[in-house]
Amino acid sequence: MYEFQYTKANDVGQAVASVSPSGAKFVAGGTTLIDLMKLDVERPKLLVDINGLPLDRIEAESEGGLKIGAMVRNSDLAHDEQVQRMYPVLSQALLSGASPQLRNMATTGGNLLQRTRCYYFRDVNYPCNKRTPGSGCSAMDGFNRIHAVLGTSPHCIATHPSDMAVAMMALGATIFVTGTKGNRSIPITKFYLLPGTTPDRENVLAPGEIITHVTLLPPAQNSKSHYLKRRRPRGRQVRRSDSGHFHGGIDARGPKTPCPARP
Amino acid sequence: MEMHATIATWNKDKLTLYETSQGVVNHRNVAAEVLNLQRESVQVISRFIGSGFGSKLFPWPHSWMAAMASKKLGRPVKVSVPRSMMFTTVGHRPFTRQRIQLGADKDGKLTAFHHQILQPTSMVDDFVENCAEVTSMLYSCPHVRAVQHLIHKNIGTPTPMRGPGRTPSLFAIESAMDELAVKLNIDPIEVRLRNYAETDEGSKKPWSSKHLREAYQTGAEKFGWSQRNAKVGSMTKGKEILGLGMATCTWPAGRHNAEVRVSLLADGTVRAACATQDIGTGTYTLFAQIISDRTGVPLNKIRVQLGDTAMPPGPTSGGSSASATVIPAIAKATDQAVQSLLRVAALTSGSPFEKVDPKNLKMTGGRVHKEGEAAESGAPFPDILKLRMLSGLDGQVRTETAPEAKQFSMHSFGAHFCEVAFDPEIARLRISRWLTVIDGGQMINMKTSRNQILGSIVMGIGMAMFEETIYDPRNGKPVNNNYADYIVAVNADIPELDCIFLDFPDTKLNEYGARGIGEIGLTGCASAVTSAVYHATGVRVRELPVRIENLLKTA
Repeated sequence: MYEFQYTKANDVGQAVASVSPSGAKFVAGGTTLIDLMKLDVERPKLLVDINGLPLDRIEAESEGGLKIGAMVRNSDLAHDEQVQRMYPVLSQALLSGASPQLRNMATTGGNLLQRTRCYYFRDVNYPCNKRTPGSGCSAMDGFNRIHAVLGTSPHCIATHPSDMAVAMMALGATIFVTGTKGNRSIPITKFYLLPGTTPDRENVLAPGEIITHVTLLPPAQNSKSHYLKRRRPRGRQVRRSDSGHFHGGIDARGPKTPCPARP
Repeated sequence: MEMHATIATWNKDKLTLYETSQGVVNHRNVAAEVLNLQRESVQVISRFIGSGFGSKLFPWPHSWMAAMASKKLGRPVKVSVPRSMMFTTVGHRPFTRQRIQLGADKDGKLTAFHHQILQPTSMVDDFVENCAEVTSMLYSCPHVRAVQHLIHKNIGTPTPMRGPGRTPSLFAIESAMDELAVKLNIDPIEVRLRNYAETDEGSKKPWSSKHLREAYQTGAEKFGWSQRNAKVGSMTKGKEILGLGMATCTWPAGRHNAEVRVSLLADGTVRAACATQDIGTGTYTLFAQIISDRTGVPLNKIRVQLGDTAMPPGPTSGGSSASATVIPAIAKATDQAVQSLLRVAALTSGSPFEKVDPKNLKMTGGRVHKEGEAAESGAPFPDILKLRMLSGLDGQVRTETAPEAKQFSMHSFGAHFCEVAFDPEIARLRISRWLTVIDGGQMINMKTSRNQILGSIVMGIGMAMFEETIYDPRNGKPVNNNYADYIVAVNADIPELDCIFLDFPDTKLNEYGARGIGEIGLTGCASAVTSAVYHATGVRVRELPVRIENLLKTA
């Protein structure tokens, strides 16, 4: 174990200010970050605990959609009556991942930022371009049965592990962030970055930016959705359709790809 | 499952090791050798074990590291092996590659059986998981050849793991038998009955007790095997295709040396002590049940102490032999203590049984009474002890291997029945039904026995569908060395499981006719699954686990 500093933020402004030093990281549920710290993959100098931020509400929007606070726990989101009624795909996606204990801790914002389960990313004894840019990709010639087949680059073939993000992709979510330069909103389709030559950059968040909430558009009239996870042996996909038939619907895909995708 | 760990502490020149061990006596003996101590100077304590499965049969170096560090520091030291190191620093089941050639006539009667096995071991050891041992005994066949090859590789030293030898061996043998049945268009049970071994043709001995035929029949009846349409993919339920498979399971019935002390105490309790272990199989309960059976003292008045080398030496908990091994010693030690009590009752002045021939006395319901009279007429056993001012009376007995072991071949048998449901649209495979029938002698405790078999099936489903240690091909390091990436079966993977025990006590093994059943349930499981997969999909999976890419072509 190594030493690190810890501070707690009580509002978004304080959180953004606290995370400005280099080597500082936000910690919410900790289900990814603490794991990776134990593995020495992440070694933040300062942890800014954002569990006290008032971003833990699910609110109906006036136009009929939902506004989901970044600190809403995965369990609460999955079991929310409005989510189950309006976006079954989202509830099902959440419940198909992790375990109840993890879902009780994991947050909406944190889930969007989950790190890959690539064996080689998680073991500091191997070169990894995502962990240490320029060091090489160990998965490329290693055991890569669980790795991505679409959207990869010669520098990284890791997949994104989030079920929730796949459902959000199908639902066309918008991600709202705050940083030192103010607020902005990013459609989820523009949020994630393909690995290209910089697999260490997984999304468009600028340093110090924090996700505050996610919004979902009201579901289309008579729309139906379902999340189908093909677990181990791998591969999963999700479909949303307007008519109850898959034909002509929206199809989003998970870990065959470096980030959640809509083909 | 439970990880390895040691706490070492020294008291002057005496070492105590708190261990998680399947064999405290062996651990003590090895510790004395390695650390150059007298055996009397080492005590190993392992009262509860979260799981063993073979990895804890033998000590590993962290135990000696803890002892040496504690000596140096002059204080207790704990060393635990983290999950990731469990894949390299302690034991595991080795990879096995097997090749089987069968010769049979058109009626499915075997004429020749050739079994070749290739297995790796480490550079520093010659451990062999014996997969050839079962080949000559399972079926009747005039010509059998089984050869096992070993190669040294830069991997950790393998060890026995639950059902060593027979588990990988039966995957191959039973898969081959299923392929034979398919090829000749004979029912898989029928092809096994046509090759039924009436005696052990390997050792050329009669069976002590074998009721495999009844296991097939009972299982077939309860599982609805007669409804099975042998045509591949012909059975459906909604949009899913059902596949039915079966396989034989078997495990040897072992019995070794054990010494047990049983003490009748003046406070009305009975205490038993033995340096064997309860690795989650219910050994504590087994001791109390046997003692209660012979004394009538209720279970809540019987205190059993295990897992401590300060106690009389008991067996290692391995090879499904601990129960069969300790039962005779518990019975004899209990009887010896009771006999001492009856003599005291007859020889103590003021005793209600003074001058009665002890041969005419009995202990029933915790009371000493005259033969032929009701237990209620007698005296509670603590009263007899108090008359003589005794704090207690001990019986301590050592028993050895079954005398009949040389004349008979002793094995448990059984049959697995598995139904899989396959959704061809998305190539999803699930186990949908399971039944196992076991001919394992007398069950002393139905709850713990059932628990062993059901647990084995869960492990067997894991072996068939999920489990695999993946080594990076460049450096031999396991890459999936954690529970997120090394996949074991979870509740969602397991349908309702059922198991039936046939009631055929093997009294040639011990008085109670009881055999150990910790391992038999795992043998054969994987081939029951892959036979069912073949029946549903037409895909014969010969390399475990079953992978989605095996099944995609049918989707």
